[in-house]
Parts: sequence; C-alpha cells; structure tokens
Amino acid sequence: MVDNRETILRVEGLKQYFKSGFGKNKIVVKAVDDVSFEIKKGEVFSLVGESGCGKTTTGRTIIKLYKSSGGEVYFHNTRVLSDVKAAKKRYRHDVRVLKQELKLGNLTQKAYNEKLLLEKQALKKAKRDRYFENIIDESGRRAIKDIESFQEYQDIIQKYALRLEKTTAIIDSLNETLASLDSKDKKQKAKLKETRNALKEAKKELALSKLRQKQDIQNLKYQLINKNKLLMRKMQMIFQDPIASLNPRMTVKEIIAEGLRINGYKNEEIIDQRVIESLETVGLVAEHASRYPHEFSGGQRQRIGIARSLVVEPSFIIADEPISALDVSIRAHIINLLNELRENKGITILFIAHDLSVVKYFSDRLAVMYFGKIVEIGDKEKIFNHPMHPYTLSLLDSIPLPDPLYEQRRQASKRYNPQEAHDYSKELPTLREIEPDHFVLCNTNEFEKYKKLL
Amino acid sequence: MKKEKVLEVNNLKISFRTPNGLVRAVRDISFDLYKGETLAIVGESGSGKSVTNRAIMGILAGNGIIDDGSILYREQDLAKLSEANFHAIRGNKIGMIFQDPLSSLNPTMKIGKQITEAMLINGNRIKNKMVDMYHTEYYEYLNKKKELDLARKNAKTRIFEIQLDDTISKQDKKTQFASVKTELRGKLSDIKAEIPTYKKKYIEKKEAAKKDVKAYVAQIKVDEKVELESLKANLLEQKKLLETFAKGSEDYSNQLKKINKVKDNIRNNRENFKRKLYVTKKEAYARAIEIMNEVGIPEPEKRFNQYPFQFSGGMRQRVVIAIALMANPEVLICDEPTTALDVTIQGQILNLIKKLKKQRDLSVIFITHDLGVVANVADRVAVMYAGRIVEYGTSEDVFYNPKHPYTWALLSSVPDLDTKEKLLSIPGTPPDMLYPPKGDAFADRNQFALKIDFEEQPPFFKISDSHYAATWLLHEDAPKVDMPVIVKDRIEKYKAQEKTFQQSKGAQA
Repeated sequence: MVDNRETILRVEGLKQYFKSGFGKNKIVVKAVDDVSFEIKKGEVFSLVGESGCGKTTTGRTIIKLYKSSGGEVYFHNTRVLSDVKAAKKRYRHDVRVLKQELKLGNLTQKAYNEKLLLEKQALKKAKRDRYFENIIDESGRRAIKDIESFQEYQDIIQKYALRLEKTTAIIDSLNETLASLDSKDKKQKAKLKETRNALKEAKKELALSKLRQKQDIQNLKYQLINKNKLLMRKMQMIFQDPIASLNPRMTVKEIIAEGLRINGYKNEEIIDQRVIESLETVGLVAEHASRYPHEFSGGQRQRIGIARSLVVEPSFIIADEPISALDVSIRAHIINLLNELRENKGITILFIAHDLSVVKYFSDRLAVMYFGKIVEIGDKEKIFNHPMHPYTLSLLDSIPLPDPLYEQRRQASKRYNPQEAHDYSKELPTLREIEPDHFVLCNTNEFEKYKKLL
Repeated sequence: MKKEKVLEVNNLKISFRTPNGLVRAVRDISFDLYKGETLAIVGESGSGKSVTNRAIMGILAGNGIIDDGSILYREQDLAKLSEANFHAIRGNKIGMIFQDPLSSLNPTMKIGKQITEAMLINGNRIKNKMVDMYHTEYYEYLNKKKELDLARKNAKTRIFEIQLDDTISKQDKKTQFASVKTELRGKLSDIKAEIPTYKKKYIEKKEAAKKDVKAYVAQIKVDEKVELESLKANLLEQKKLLETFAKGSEDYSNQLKKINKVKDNIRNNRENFKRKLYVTKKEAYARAIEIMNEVGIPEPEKRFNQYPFQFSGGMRQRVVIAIALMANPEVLICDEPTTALDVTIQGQILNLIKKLKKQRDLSVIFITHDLGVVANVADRVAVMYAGRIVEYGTSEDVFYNPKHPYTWALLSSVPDLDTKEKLLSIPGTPPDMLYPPKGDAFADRNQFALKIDFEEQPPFFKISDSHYAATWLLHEDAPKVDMPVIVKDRIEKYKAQEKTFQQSKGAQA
C-alpha cells in the first residue's frame, strides 16, 4: 500500500552529543546518535524507551531547544535544521572534483564558475538554515516594496473600501446638515446637538476602520517577511511536568498569550479571543484565564500546557511524556483530549513515552530507542505482533497488567544485556526491513534469524 | 488457618488544621495486616493513603491530628505513643521506603555512611542495656506526659471547630469555649496529680539501673584487662623464643607466623571488648555489605564509598531499601517506590521486594496508583477514595469481581495492550476535604449514583468472606447495574487466558 499522505516531518541522521571536561577527562555522551524517521500528516508517531535513552533529547533537538551536533530536519518539506559540518565536507569534496574536471578540460571556465557559485550558495544556505527561524525572507522583503500587486492586499483594501465609503458619505451628509442649521435658533438647538454627536461617532468609526485596515496590512507584511518564523510556529511542544513548565508568576492568560505576542500579535481583542478559544478546545472555561497555575489540579495544568501549544495553531505537536506525571484517573482525560485534537484538527503528534500500553493504544507508528539509537521502527501492529529486537521484547515483557493470576505466574522479567544478546564482533548492525514498514537494527546473521521467525 | 495479626488500624480519623478550616484527610478507616502478606492501598493522589501510612510511622506533619481511632502494633497503640517511645519502633520494627529515591538520600554523604548511620547512632550498647532495664517505668511516665499533650490538642481542635461553626451564636460560642476550657483544666489537673508518682518510680528504677550497668562495665573492663595481660605475656614469651632461632631458618619463620597470630588475637580481643560497649564501624560495615548483597547491589565493597549521584535510579532505590532493612524491621511500608522508575527497572524492584518479603517473612504495605503493579505484588487490596476505603478484598476478588463504581473507573481509565475503544475517564475532580460530602464521596463523579448516595454514607456490604465494598448498589433494593463493558471484556479476556493456560499446563502434566 502506498501512503499518499504528505510527509510533515523528516529527520535525517540526527545527532546530539553532549561534551564535558577537557583533554584527558573529556567525555562525549552520544545522547542521540544517527536517528532518522518520517512522520506523515495526521498520524501519531511514538518514541519509546527507558529513561536516558535519548527520546526526550530527540524531541528537544527537533524543536531546536538544543543545538544539534549533526543531521537535518525537514518540516513541511522545508529544511529547518541543517548540518553545517556535513555541508562543508560536501562542498570541499565537490570543489575538488570540479577543479579536477577543469584541469582535465571537461569543463569550460564559464561552466566551472557557474557550478562553483551554485556550490557556494548551497553552503551558504546550509549555514543559514541552522538558524532558520531567525532569518528574514529576502524575497518577502522585496515583495513588500511591491505589495500593491498582491491579491491578499487587494482583498484587504476591498474589504474595507465599502465601509470607508459609507462612513465618509455619512460624515459628508452630516456636515451639510450642520452647515444648514442655525446655531442661534432655540428650536433647532436639540437637533444641532444630536447631529454633532452623530458626527463624532461617525468620525470615530472612520478612524477605527482605517486603523483596522492598517493593522491588517501590517500583519500581511509581517507574514511576508517572517515566513520562516511562521513555519517554525507550526511546530509546538507539550512538556512532561505541568508544574515546572508553567511560570507561577503569570496568569493563565499571560502564559497562553505569550506565544501570540512573540509572533507579533498586538491587538488585545484578537489575543483574548484566541486565548479563550484555545482554553475551550482543551475543556477549560474563560474564567480560568485570570487565575494562576497553582490554583489548578495536575490534569488542568497539563491542559493549560496543551492550550499554550494550541493557541498558535500548530500542525505538529511534540508531546514529551505528557501523562507520566499525572494520576491514573486524569491520564485518560489527557489521552482522550489528544485523540480529539488529532481527529478534529488533524494535528500530527510525536508522542514520547515509556509506557507501552499507552503507546499501543494511542499511536500509529512507533520507534523503540536504546542508548541513542533506534533499534526497531515501523507500523504499530507489525511491531506489537512480531517484536523482533531483544530490547523491544524485554520492554513488552515488563508491562504489569491488572490481572493478578497472570502476574503471579509471570517469571522475573528478562533483562536486556547488549553484550549477551548480540555478537557484533564480525559485522556491525544496521537498520534492515524485515517486512514492509518494519525495520530492525541487526546484522546479516540476525536478519536471517528474524526472517525465519516471521 | 488464622494468620498472626501484626498491625491493626481501627476507625482511624486524621485531620489537618489549616487557616481555612479542618481538612479531613482520613475519615474512619480500618484494616488489618497479617504476618507475611502484602496489602496494597490504591487510590488517586489526595485520597489519604500516604497520610495513613505517615500516621503509622508517626511522621505526620505538625498540623496533623489523629482525631480518633487506634493503630495497634503488637498490642501497643501507636496513636497514643510518645515520641521517645516511637524511636524504638520507627525504623526498627516498621521501615519505610519513599517515592523518590533521589530526594530521600543525602547527596553530600557517601552511600556507606548513610546505610550505617542509624546503626552507629543507636549503637551505644551500654545505654541501650540501661534503658532496657527501666523502660517500662520510663515509657509509662512519658505516655502520661503525652496524655497532657493529647488532651490539649483535642481541646484545641474542639475550639477550632466551634469557631468555624456558623450555626452557633456568639454568646453560645463563649459559653461553649468556657465549658471546654474548664473541662480541659480538670483533666489536666487530674493527670498532673498522677505524674509525680510515675516520675518517682521511674527515677528510682533508673538509679538502680545505673548502678547495675556501672558494675557490669567495670566487670567487663576487668575481664578484658586480665585477658589482655595474659595475651601480652604470651606475646613476650613468643618473642623471647624467636631470639633463640637463627635468622632465615624455618623455625624462625614459623615463629614469626605464631607471633602474628598472637597479635591478631590481641586485636580481636580489643574489637570484641569494644563491641560489648558499642557498635563498632567494622561491625556496621560487615552488616551493610551483607544487606547490600541481599538487595542486589553488585560490588558492594566498591559501592560503599560512592555518592548517590553515581548510582542509577534503580540502584538508588535499592540503597533506600537497604537502609530500611538494616534494622531488620517486621513491617515495611512502600510509598509508591516505583513511580519515579522506568518499566524495566520497576519490574526488577518489584521482584526484589517480593523476594525480600518471602525471605524475611515481612509484612508489606504497598501504596501505589498503578493497578498493574498492585496485581503483581499484592495479596490483598484496599481501594481508597476521599479518605475512606471503598472496597477491599483479595487481589483476585478486586480485579476479577470489582463491585464499587470507583474501582470500575480506575480499571477502565488505563489502556492495556488490546484496548481499542475510547477510554472511560472519570469526570470531575475529587471532593474538597474541607467540606467532606454528606453521602458517598464518589457520587458526584459516578454515573451510576443513586439518590441515596447523595444523602447517606453507604456501609460495607459483604460480597464474600474476604471481599467487602461500600456502595449502595449492593443493597438488595438497589437497581441491577452492570460494570462498564470495557472492564467486563477485559476481565473475561483475562479469565479465558487463565483457562487456556491451565489447560495447556494440564495437557503438559
């Protein structure tokens, strides 16, 4: 079956190393080591593993909370994170090849210059893409000079044109009546007052309409310039600990509106409206907006965290263990809420968890991570029906079930020990596809063994 | 077969004084703990499960009061025990493991020191011996003093309650205050009059004990001196003998070995003498290594000198368990020991606790909100909600035949590996315990709630000899209500699995 859905996120060879110490004491921890996966639109993709395996780090590196050590991330088919080291290497290699070709006479000087320019541009772009979200779009800047030719601009003008015309006509007519009235006549005094008030109101409305128009045009300009920022805005994160991730000194409204303000919203009315909308989508009410985080229970706090990520209308959410800090009875609330969001709004979710039963219930595809590497990745049904990697097996084995007789006869859970489980002295393992959309980290020997088990 | 009862909690009521009023955290709970069994207490946070166990350990917060009820441990009421008396029980007889292993260990102290600390502090054997001699009189005296405290505290809560009651007029309040105060005064003077006789008894006994112990220490010292002198004389003799041999000969080296042996003997003698007086570091070290081996810490000799940050989460929890086991307790209270851990590590720690329970015949109280964990460890289960036990029974009773709607809700809010349909979440929030509800506390969130649920607290209905549930649905006049489909399906699935397992086992046999 060919999946026609759009790929929302593509991660290629993502690396995140943490260094500490100098010289002899230098330690490099490979928290994430060469991780690649793809997420399709509307699906829930899960990262599973024990704590310290790098699943949270992967999520945080994708959303650029850490500076990556390597690898590229494509979001909505745009590169949002580039690998400068790799780009430099590629550039050097390509230039060497080009020079050789020139020497051999396969290339003319002109063609060489052109190709070299292209290479230089690619390198420059890679360097810039590292700080993708901060870069102002050059084409957008150029477009602003010629903004009148844009359809959106014309739409805005048209939207306000009728209203502006009407109000100016009213003002004109009122002015005329005002001129015709005699201020000294006592009979006409009341009418005079009335017209003056009406005129005041009409002028106010005119000013307001003009302001709105100006704001809309400014918004359009902002959108044209900050294309990159707006794209990154489509990616949001929900954090694990609802207590630590909300600022205790800010009201709920301030917390939720912060993202909007950072993204250039200045109109208080619109901000209020958006905040209330997002509060209502997560099942809270407008009155909650003026309260502080400590006044809420754990589940409600997590809802605030979700509302904060929803307010900027993301298409992709990274949910970093959103339920592991919550009570059992509240977990179901949050899972159901995330499920609704995905169904109603078509939001794609990267779900980071260590609880396999929740992952099985909630996600479409999943990847099992162990010490910074993906050991098994693929379709949920396939992995749960035919778990292959010994680490996945040991994870599956350790889920306690609410079934006392089963638990009593269950043997002590198997422990995964990579030294015992694998023999990689002859050949190092790679990710291989043992059935469609099911990859396992293994070498040739193991691959054949797994194939037989299918 | 009737098992030996270790701990008995009867009609326990605990409340906390706060600026807003009395928070009734635990409202009338009773349970028994038998020797060698695991009792799991399940419930969401704020249901009072931790408070109950803190009361058993005698570590309630300062504003927490035991209003009523008793906690009987070996016929001793822990609720009325004075702090000094509690030292003999807390840690020694009842051990506790806390939720977060990182915050319950001191980051600036080596693991070894933390494990041996309690043993060394309580290690003055002479003092312990003396206290043993006069402890009955001493404890009676202290308990009498504690009665004063209890009387004062009770009067305080009553005044507090009267103050908060809006139905009483100001004038009435004043008269009531006065009556409470006079009553208190009377009680206090009664107790105070009794105290001197108790004190006299205790001091007399103490003096006698002091004399006895002094004589005992002197005797030990004399014995030690005699033995040491004889050993020293022996050493001198051997040394003299050594001079008669030629250097390098076989006899010479043999003699050297003999001398070393005598020196060792002298050292051991000194150590033994010290051990009679107090717990030595060597003794504590040996015991710690033994316990660390028992809880599965590899290379204990090396780990002994490491700091908590050098341990992983699972290992830290093992260290905490080791600390709890050092004093050889009879009851072990585990307060969510696996919540902060991973699934794989969780399995290991649960297996360890089960193993220790079997080896040492421990009674374990296991607090958790994870039903899978409960099924794994528990013999009996008590489900708590809003300060009350709503259902209790053996784990088979509760998991295969749950009767209370709250138990259903708990079971249905967790997905298992085969869940596909929408999860049933519990609507609403737990009640505010400042104003405990009149009827069933769960009624507001219960889709099966009856009219009577809002008016009257349901009593325990007996389902079987070991299984009770507090819900009006079990009353004979109540309408028939079935448990949610999701729970029913799951239980049937489990039962079917069990059947196939038994059949395959039978076929094999």
